[in-house]
Amino acid sequence: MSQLPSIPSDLTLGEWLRADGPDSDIALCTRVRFARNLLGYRFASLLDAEESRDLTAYLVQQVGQLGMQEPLRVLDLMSMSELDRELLVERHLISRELAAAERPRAAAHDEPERVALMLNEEDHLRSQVFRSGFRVEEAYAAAEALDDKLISALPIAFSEEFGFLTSCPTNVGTGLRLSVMLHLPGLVWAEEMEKAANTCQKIHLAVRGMYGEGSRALGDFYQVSNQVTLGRSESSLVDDVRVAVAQLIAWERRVRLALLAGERRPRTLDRVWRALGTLQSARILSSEECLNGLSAIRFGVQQGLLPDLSAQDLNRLLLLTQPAHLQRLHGKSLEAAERDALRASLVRGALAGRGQGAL
Amino acid sequence: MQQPKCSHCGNARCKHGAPSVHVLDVAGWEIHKQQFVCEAIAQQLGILPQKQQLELSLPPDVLANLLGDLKPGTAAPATGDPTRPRPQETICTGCRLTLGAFKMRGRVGCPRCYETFRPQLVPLLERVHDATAHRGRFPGRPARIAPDPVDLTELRTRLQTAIAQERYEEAARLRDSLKKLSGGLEPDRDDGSGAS
Ligand SMILES: [Zn+2]
Ligand SMILES: [Zn+2]
Repeated sequence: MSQLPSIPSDLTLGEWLRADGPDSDIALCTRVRFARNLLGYRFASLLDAEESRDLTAYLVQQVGQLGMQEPLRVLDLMSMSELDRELLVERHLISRELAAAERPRAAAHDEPERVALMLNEEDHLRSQVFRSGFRVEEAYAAAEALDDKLISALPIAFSEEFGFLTSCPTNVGTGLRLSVMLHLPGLVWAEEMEKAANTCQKIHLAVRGMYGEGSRALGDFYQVSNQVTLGRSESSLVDDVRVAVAQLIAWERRVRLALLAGERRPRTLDRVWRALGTLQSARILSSEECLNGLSAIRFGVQQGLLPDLSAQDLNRLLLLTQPAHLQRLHGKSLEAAERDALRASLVRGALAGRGQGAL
Repeated sequence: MQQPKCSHCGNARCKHGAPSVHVLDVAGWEIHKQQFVCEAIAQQLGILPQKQQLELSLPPDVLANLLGDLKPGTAAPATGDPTRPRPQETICTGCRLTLGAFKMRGRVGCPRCYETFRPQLVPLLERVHDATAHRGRFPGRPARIAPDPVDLTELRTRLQTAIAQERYEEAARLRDSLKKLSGGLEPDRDDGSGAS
């Protein structure tokens, strides 16, 4: 992708798009999050500005002394520009809610973006660990080790009866949210995604789109997470997600093969090449059209149809075509129409000449 | 859990899918009425926002509905000081959050709220998690060496019922087991009511 403008060092791929973990053709990333609160401070919904400032300052100080293997970069979200906060959201390091809040708050992450902490979010402290690909156990073990450090450094609110106490009762108990981000174009194209999502919901797993708002999942990217946090051990929650996601991945692979066999093959190939053609020549690309096109091309790459493109190339485009990343690349803020034009030229440059001679 | 039937169309599975929204009419300590509806019906009733995606944290208005105030529009207006109680209203001594404000926001204000609003929280936890007690790890200890999971809530609920129904012998027995199981962590309590 030599056609891309030079990428600022803080716009590298980050752990979750590194595309090097197991099953990373389908599972982009595994994330483990713990919600924790401190004794001595009211919970977020009642904190006034002064308490918020005290709490954030205290957390920043403590987090700075955790003695992590990779040093943490602490970010004061109050003094950051909206664009820079948005950049962190697009990199999945902080939540949209934390970016948009107006109270004193902070975030911290390590350089490889495998660890990210949110300070004064809906809970006082939310720690997150990321591993690229489908690595539930490894991610959980790392998150638990980090949580142990936090628990020994901070007065964490815990009750023997209800477990770790959270601001919202839907997170109480383990405070654990384990998510796997999945690219499931096969299930969507074969119209089996709804069935898959219903199956997950029956075993208390939530399935939601990774991009966009409303009920549609743009670009066929989904996030599967545990919904229940109370009354189960962490290991059984982890197992639930691991088993269900392994089945989803196997299901997706089966459907992909079926889509590329027999009568369905021409239609599937048409879909991939049509998307490539559009993205290679479009002058204006909305987020939505871009994501949907990249999804089809990513499918083609993973199924070996486009040998001169790699999963990393596609992941990089997924990240860089997000609004804040585009503006960061451009060096200034852009209107929506300008973004659509810049997005088109970025994608065109990256895909120029690809897909030649294949099949 | 047994598969519930949709309170509106009477089917365990209607054209909108399985009923997935449990609406509780909670007043004081009692569940007056409960119904199950499917998502589409819940949206029509205004319990769920239109075209809502599966949210990981329930939005405050959904929680408020689960906690009471069944009909849309009957909730108290979201104005005023959430820590200023109406007369005789339950209020958390830890953070001054009132029961009304808790119901409206669906968020608690401090660790003690879990004790203060226990009567409202327990049915909510039951509904959301299908459980009312922690079975995961304890700080500093992985789950596998944590003590046998003890359902303190269930015991406490039974204790409350026993007291309410004036079955004092049973209540005394339950109180003893509560004390034993909680390893002395359970404070002495006269009436078993968690609210202050
Ligand atoms: Zn129905
Ligand atoms: Zn409280």
